[in-house]
Amino acid sequence: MVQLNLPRGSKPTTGKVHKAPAGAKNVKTYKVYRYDPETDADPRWDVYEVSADDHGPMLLDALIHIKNEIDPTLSFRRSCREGICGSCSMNVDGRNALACTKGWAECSSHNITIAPLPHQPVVKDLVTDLSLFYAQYDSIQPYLQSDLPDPEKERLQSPEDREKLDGLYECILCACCSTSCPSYWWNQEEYLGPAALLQSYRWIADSRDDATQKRLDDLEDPFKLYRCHTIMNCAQVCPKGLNPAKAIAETKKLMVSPSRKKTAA
Amino acid sequence: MSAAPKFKNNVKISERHGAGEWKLEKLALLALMPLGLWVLSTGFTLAGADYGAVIAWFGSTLNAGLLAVTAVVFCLFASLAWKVIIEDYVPASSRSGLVLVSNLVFLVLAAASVFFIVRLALGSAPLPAGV
Repeated sequence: MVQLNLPRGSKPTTGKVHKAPAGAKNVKTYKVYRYDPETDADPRWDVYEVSADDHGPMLLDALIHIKNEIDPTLSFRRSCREGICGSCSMNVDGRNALACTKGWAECSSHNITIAPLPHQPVVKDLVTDLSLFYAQYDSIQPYLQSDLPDPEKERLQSPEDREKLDGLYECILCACCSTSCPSYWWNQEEYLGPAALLQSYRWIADSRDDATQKRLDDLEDPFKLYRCHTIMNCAQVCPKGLNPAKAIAETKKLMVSPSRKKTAA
Repeated sequence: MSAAPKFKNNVKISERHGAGEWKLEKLALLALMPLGLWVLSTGFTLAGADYGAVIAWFGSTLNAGLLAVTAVVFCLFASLAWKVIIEDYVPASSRSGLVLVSNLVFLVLAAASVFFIVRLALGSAPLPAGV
């Protein structure tokens, strides 16, 4: 359901200011969302003044610098630092992004606001609880289902059929798309969200998969699929340049195509 | 009307419907495009016309029929659109009741529209006294 205000105890207050050392040059100001469930206090915005000369070109470099040199209590997820693992997804200046592939120089001002992914329960600071997101991914059965016996070698696919998977298989499950979608914000208990729906279409579009009709049956629901109102935030923020809204539209087209055959419930 | 949703591992189990409603909404929208333009152009044509000319316009079976179809399709599209809005913005516990009320409102509106179009078409809608 729609939520127009943050619940009580979730509104961030003003936090600490960590000043840059005197004489520091090329200083950027990072306003970072902080929340520690152990202290049971309201979340707060801490401000860190950091010289960009002290770290690498990406926002993740700045966050690692803050954690190593200024405030070791800051928590955030990170792993590959090259846009492959999807761990460091967060909200930067109001737009979801991967901290490892977004440069601080790309931000429009010297004051950069960093918050956790929107509308997700916060575990600590920039770390959100993505349990439901992963359960939704699990529910679409993201693996090949074939009626044919296992071949001795790989399952063959024509280059044309393989091309149909381009723009689908590259998803790294960073959750930037789903957590930028207002439909997902309001109804994530029932709506699968763009990431899970993109992945579902990835298997529907796979010529080697024989469970297409069953997959469509599992998606045919006023909420699981049809909460997508083509807002397109998902395509705008995807750090891999994918278009989940298009995959959802293709799924909707298949739902009403003449070849559609419902399977037994 | 949907029953209470069922979940498995916190993910909703498919109700196995929704495509029909989606298709109906798109078809209604497609139909409303030419019908809406026709109603708009008719409005401009009849603007400033006297009572007799308007009654004569309604007296044409084609005009009255198309206007009735437009009213019904509009109410159908509006009821489907309101259902989506209610489902988006209202908690699950109150959804069914509000959708029912919304459907009833548009049903009454459609029925009233058709009733008055037929009355005008039959010429049985005299001007109020003094007009």
